[in-house]
Amino acid sequence: MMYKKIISFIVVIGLLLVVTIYSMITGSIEITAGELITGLFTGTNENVEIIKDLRLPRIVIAIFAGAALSVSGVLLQAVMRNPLAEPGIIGVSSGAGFVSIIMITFFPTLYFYTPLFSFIGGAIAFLLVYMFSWKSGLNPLRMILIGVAINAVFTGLSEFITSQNASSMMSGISVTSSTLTMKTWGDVEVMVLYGSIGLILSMLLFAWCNHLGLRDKTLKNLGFRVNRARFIISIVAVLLASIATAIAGMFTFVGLLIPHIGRTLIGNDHKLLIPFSAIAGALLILTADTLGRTLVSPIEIPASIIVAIIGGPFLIFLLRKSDRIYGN
Amino acid sequence: MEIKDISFSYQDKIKRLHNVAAEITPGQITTIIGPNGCGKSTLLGVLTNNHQPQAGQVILDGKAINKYKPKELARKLGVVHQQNTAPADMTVEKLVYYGRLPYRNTFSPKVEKDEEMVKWALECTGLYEKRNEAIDTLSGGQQQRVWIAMALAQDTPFLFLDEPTSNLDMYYQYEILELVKQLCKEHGLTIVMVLHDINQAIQYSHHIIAMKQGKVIKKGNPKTIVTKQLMQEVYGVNVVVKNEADVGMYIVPLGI
Repeated sequence: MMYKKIISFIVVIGLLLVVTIYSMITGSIEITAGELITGLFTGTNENVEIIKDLRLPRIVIAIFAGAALSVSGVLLQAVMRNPLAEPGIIGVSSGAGFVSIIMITFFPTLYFYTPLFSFIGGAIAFLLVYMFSWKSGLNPLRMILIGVAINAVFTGLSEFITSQNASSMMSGISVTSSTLTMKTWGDVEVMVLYGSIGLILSMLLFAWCNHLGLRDKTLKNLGFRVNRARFIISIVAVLLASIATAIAGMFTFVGLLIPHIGRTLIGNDHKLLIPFSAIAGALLILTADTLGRTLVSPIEIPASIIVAIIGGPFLIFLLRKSDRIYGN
Repeated sequence: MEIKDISFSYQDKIKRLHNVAAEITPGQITTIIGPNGCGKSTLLGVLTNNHQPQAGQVILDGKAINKYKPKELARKLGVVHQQNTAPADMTVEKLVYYGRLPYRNTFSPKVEKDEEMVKWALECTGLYEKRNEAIDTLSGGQQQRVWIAMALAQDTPFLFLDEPTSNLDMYYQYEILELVKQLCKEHGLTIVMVLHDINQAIQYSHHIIAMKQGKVIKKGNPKTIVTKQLMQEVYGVNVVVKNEADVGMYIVPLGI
């Protein structure tokens, strides 16, 4: 068992390194790995400088967005005790997207605060889902249905606003997919800063996530403050999903797919599941983005579309192969 | 532990408990009996601070239980609920370690006392050999014992069990009841449990609290309070009460 876990970690870390390097050297400007490495240190290779300015930011953002979304999925699944909870499905991402679109459309001067607005939007969506589904004591099916409804409302509202403001700066951006083009080092700073905070916090919270595998009643009788733990984990989950949405756009599915893969390979212990999901999520989005921009270049396929196309069949394959999904 | 005139209702609708008053004698087994929906599990919920009563209070060591800090209370009472969930791949030992939660902080490491108590709890429940197995590989009776072991690791003077024998075969039912008896006798635990089977209640309890429609109908020693009239009143079932020298007291239900 331990052997399988170690191999899984080595494989995803190895793949992530390989894909990162491949992603840096492939595209409209092609160089060799050797040129890249010497160029990065000497700073004299013109092509490497272009790659550093244009390609590297989107690679870093893809890595952090993938990690953030997957971990957000793991945390939400723990908090809601529901294997289907995922920032995309339950509306956290679309809530985050909606509020940032509103602010950017109507108050473009506040562009700098986009991450904050995203966080507020994500938190509102999450609160709505939580409040409306609490009535039945967090019934899993009801919660997902309410999440789907909230998601539909926010997605619809966002599409309405972007279609009404076709000439605004948001015109090129779809509210249901993601593009990682034209990312700057400024975006990278925001993504890396908030993403790292969220990821570090989530790794510190692993024990609480594990505790939530037991029933509330049981935990209460063990003197564990269940609601406080839920609240704190939720904030971290919303932070991660919102920041990823603000910088990288809408990715549904990552937060569902990656934790499921993680559970089949690594198990339900969050001490390992959280770091594994972070690495595997980074790998998935980076691979999708790299394929998206190289497959039929110069046309770009949004990374979120590639994620959906590879992710869907892979998830079905995994579920059919393994009967152990989540909990009991 | 004193139960002082507890009244409780869910969302202010139907009253589930009416002025319930009783006393739990330390070091003995008290069993709550009564028909479905009579409020016995609700009472257990109030006694373990899972429900907040609208009136009355539960006094434990001179202090109302809702005045305790969560961890402080968790060092006084352990509870085994009727329904339990845990991740399927969790090992028995890991789950039993949860019983040490009231003594630890999130980041503090395990100490010797934790290991000792977990080992003791596993041995008491006959699970020491199975400590490294995943709980979903265990039988129903063994799983029930894992949850009891978790409560034992909590090292509390009080142990509450909500229908610990439900859904178990007869052999496992008695295995659990024998364990409860042994915990009371050898380790001095005060046990409060809810049971469905009257004969098991008679056989294993020092005290019985008989409830119907949220009220205590009778309480006391099973030998004196379990009568034909009480069974008719509480369950609406016609029984004969037998008392034989070699098997002690038991009831035989005849019909309704």
